[in-house]
Amino acid sequence: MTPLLWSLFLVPLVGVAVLTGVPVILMVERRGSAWLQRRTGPNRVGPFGLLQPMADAIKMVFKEENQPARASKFLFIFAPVLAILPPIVGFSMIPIAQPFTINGESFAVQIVKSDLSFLFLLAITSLHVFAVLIAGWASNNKFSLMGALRAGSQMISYEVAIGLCLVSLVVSYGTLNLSEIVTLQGAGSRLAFWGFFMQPLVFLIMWVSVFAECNRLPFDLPEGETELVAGYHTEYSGLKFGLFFLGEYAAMYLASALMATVFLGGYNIPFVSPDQLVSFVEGLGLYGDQATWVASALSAVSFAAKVFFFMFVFVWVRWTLPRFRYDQLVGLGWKVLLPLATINLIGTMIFSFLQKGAY
Amino acid sequence: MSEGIVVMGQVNLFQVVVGILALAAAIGVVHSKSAVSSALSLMATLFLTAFLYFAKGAYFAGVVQVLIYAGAIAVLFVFIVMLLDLKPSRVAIPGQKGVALLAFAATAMFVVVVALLAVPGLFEPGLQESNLTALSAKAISYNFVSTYMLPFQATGFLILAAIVGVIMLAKSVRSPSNESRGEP
Repeated sequence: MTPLLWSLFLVPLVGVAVLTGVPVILMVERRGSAWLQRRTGPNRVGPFGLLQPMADAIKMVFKEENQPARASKFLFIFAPVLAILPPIVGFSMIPIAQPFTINGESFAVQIVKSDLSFLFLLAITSLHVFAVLIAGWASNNKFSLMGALRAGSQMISYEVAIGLCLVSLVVSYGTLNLSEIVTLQGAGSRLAFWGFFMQPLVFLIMWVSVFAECNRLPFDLPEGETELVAGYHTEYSGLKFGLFFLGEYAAMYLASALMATVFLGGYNIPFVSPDQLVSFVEGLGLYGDQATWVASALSAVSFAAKVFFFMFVFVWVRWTLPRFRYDQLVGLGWKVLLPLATINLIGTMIFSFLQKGAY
Repeated sequence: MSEGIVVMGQVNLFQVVVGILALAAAIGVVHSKSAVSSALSLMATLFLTAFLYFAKGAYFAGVVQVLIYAGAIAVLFVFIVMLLDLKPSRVAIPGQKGVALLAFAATAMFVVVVALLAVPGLFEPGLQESNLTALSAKAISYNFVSTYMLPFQATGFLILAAIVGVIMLAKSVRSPSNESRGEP
């Protein structure tokens, strides 16, 4: 198998994994919210109500689709497509598991192995805001447009903070390559190399910003039901709404995966370096290539657990905190997070200059 | 013909297709009646231009193009246009003569730039194709703070001046009498 063939094989695998992840988190969200609020939650469809997301999906496919009479026809259809594409494409940059070998040749579990994968990821996710803006404008509806404008200014504001945070990280890691960042965090099986311990403030700022970037509560102003019906997707129904829904959850998955990759050591298992993992598997009686396959699978499980941790916090926070006021949201972004991120960046630069010297 | 010009290197089918799409989007920018479609076409043009960079192997330039121009500046354009809700009639369109003059000026500028690029040795260090493709992000950033420090800072200063100018222009439009009869 050539590396290119392997990458092509990974494309549907990762895509399907993300799209199957959405119903899973949907179920967690519905039952979890019920649990947090002392309700029962959906428990009628299938065992323990586990088939509820499937029932929702079938309903969405067969629902009648409406289009406002004076909506912009092309853009109205284009927006949902644009909502789902960037989050899924973004996953091609994420290293999902540690490399394995076939006949001594190493294969990385990452679709795009670029030196700039970090920047690629940022560039692709920055296009997500267009989906929201276009949807709101194309619907020809006041509530949609207001939701879209709110979403636009919110996402732009918090993107600035996220960008500065990531610059701090890049300065301390010294690379823009996501798989190199993960390798650095796994070095020497010490947690001290994890992004979380190297840049705790960045971790905090970024975690808050990601909630705003994904339009999740407590920052879901673009869809505030009490004010805007449903925000930018008010006029969408059926499968087009489904695509927005899917895109939103896929974006949450991508944000969680990015956070896990840069802060929690990516696919590394805590206290175990990739080499130690392989020798542990060899101790179980597997040798050579097969040991690396099992080790790779184990690291993928570790990565999935980290992603799921962040996803669960998304759900947890949504059903715990009330919605912010819009001026509070914008004020937090520009007056608190951005200065903090800037100070942190300057501090990181001085520290890394003292530590490593000039280039 | 000098070999080092980016515009005139080898061209494959991908570049032709993307180039034509980018041109179509660029025509859309000037041709659209509504300001929002125009701004969206601008975003498409910038995005497709990034693919031309990718095709040339200049990944860093391409990524930065998407990140800064398509992802940030075009978003701001679209956002502002939507916020102001410009009706087609309210957009000032220069007359037939003005359009012709502007088009002529733009074409002349394009010809001059291409002619300057074609002169061998004039832009030796900056625009050679091999230079563009071989540079990693590290090398580019190193050049920014060493060889090209002065132009880099000067550009930053220019942008700052432009921002101050925009604020001045935007402020002078709004007179106090207008402000007082805002929303009820």
